[in-house]
Amino acid sequence: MSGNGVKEIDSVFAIEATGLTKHFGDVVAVKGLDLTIEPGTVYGFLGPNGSGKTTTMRMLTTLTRPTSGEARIAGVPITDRNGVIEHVGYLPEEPPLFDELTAREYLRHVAALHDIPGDEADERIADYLDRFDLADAADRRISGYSTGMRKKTGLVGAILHEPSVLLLDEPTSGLDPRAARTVKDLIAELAAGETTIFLSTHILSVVEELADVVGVLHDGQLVAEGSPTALKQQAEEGTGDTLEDVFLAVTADHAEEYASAESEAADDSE
Amino acid sequence: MRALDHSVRLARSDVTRMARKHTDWRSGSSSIIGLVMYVLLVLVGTLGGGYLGYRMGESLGAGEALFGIGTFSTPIAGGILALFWLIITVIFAVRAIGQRGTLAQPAGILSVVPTREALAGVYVAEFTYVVLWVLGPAVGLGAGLALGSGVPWPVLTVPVAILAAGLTAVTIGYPIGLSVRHVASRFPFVAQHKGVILVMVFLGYFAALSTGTVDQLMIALFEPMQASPMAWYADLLFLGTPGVEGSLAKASGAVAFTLVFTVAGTIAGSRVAGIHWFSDPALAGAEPEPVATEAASPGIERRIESVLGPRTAALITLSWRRAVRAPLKLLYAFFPVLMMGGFLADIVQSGEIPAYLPFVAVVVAAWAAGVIFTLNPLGDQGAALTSALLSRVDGRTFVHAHLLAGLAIAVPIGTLLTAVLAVLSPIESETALALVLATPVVMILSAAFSVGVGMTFPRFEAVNVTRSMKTVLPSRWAFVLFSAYLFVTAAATGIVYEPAVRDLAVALVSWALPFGLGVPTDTLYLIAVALLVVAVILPVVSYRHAIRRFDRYTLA
Repeated sequence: MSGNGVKEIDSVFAIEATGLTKHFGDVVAVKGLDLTIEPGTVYGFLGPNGSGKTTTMRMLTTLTRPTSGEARIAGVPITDRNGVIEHVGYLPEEPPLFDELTAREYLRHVAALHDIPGDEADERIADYLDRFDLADAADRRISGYSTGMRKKTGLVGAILHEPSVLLLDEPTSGLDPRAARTVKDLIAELAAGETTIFLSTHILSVVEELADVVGVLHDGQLVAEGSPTALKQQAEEGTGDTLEDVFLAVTADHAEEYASAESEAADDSE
Repeated sequence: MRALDHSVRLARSDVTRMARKHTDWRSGSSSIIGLVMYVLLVLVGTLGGGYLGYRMGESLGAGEALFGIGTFSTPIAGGILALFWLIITVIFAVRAIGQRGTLAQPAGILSVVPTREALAGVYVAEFTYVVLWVLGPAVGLGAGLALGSGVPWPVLTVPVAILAAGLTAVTIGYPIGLSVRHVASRFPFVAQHKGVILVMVFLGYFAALSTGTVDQLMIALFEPMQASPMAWYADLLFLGTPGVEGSLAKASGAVAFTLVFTVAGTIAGSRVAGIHWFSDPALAGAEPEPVATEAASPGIERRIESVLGPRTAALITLSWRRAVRAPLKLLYAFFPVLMMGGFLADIVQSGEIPAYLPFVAVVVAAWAAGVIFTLNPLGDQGAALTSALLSRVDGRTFVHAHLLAGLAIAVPIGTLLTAVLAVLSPIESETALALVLATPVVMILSAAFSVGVGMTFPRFEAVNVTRSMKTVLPSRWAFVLFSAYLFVTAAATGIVYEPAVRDLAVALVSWALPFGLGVPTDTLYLIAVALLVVAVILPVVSYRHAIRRFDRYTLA
């Protein structure tokens, strides 16, 4: 364990994926995804709706089995769920909450599932509740929470056991600017403490601010990858210098590429 | 006219959505079955109404006793119709207390049309549902009455009277229900404990049914309803029918009453809707949760933790806590009791415990033990399943926790119930003792079987338990397989241990088999013994499968 309680990663890479592919029947959700993410990196995972981001996260967290390919989290293959669990924390887009519980009860439950001793769990929970301005609402049922409060509660649940690799699916969606700032500060703090953050979001400003590396997923394939600065420099036709311009450019280009490739394939088969 | 057009348009949208929802083949066989049932019921009602009307018309025209029972009496017919009207009005009031008391997408409607038009739209939609169900039977009844009596008037008067009664049931019932809904919604206690209150109401209603209280209430209400203007619908319905001493004044009064109460109901309903639809609902959990004063307090959790470990304790207390706070899904643990409603009514009224009841209690206890927490353990986790899968909880812990959570409650209650009934019934002491000793064993086997079935056939999506409340129930396959297991095991036990049951089973099997084939008693006995052996082995297999299933479970 490192000084801040985060489990150390023995492997060179926090997240590795080779040829990771997932089919749902005839639909290819993720195709041949290769990733190598070093420990302590904030990796921003961008992509249009339906591009395969959530499916990728589910595969990396062992919640979905890939059709082919392999991946490792902190050196542990994703076929070994028990091994991966020791290193990973996951916040899905819909926070994994029980409406009938209060936030405090839910977080104590999560702490117990991760074998965090009671007193230590209570201390961590109190700290995080305070930090996310949830202390006053902590003993009210989650069913009465706003979207932002639910998201924050879910996030605390994902980091309570101090994982070395944290996968966050849209962590700032539904949050007001102050809460979003708190989450961004937390992400930056965790990354400084060698936690690897794999962050999927539509909000380009979050990625621009926090990410060390950005990967753009389109139709299940990684179509661009690099630091935000490098990607902006690659923006074609000089149409702009923001990450949004890059995103729109690469996803538009590849949409055209795929459209023409499909058209060619259809012509060949005739 | 534009206002009416808006209301009709809103109603059309409501009815279209309902029709599409119930005829969407993609949503599964239940829509098809529902549609077929509806068509059948309306068809049977129409043809049956026609036949009934024809026979009635014949008897009335000839001045004979109605169906051989007695002379037709308009006041009695009025009382019966008025009671039906009351029941229908209560139904619409209850619908308004539930899901129909709020608009679908209220922000999109109330920001566009005035409240009165929106409310009128609801009335038109509800009346449309009345028409969809009763128009066919009403027309059938009217046509039959006309044919039988030899006069044409019933073709018009019967549907008009029935639909007019339906209209006033809507316009009176809905604002009453909406008022009740509004009063209830002002109290945070009610909002917070909606599930518990609903369960209490349901159990109270069931108790009233079982004890005959509902019947007595209907009898007590007959005379007051007979004297009310609602009874005038009978005069309108039978207007012009030979052999019926109706009152034209009362028939006219029924029409006037309908018009007056439709207008009054719309005005009253608008007032209530104007308050309720724009009021702030009482927030659930507005008061801080009293953490230490209910089921699964931290003290209980720590005690369980010291015996079973933190993960098992966390899952057990989670199950208890959620069941106490949202008990609606536990209603299906009472399904066998509901099905025995008629028997229970007789038992309560006679005050005697029949000899079969302790045996039935064992089956009911086994059912309850198997459905409470183990028939859909994955689905019950909902969105939080990822937390469980990505924690240190393994399959053994997950399965044990769910088994213990249910059995810890069900075994003491089930065993006590069996013991009390066995002692009070006329069965022999040895049999009573055997039943009491067998109850916990049967419950454990039942729960072990159900957890494997539940893990194999999970359901994650919520279904409507009432019109306004959804919860996640076990899947149909889980219910079917578990019920089949209990039924076969109970039947096999009866065949092995009770000669009367064995003889009955032989007779039933022989009746069912074609070509006059039969089954010897000894053969059936051996089959039953084999089934009992399987019934003991299956839960062990199911339990082990459940553990493996969790350890290997993926979301897709």
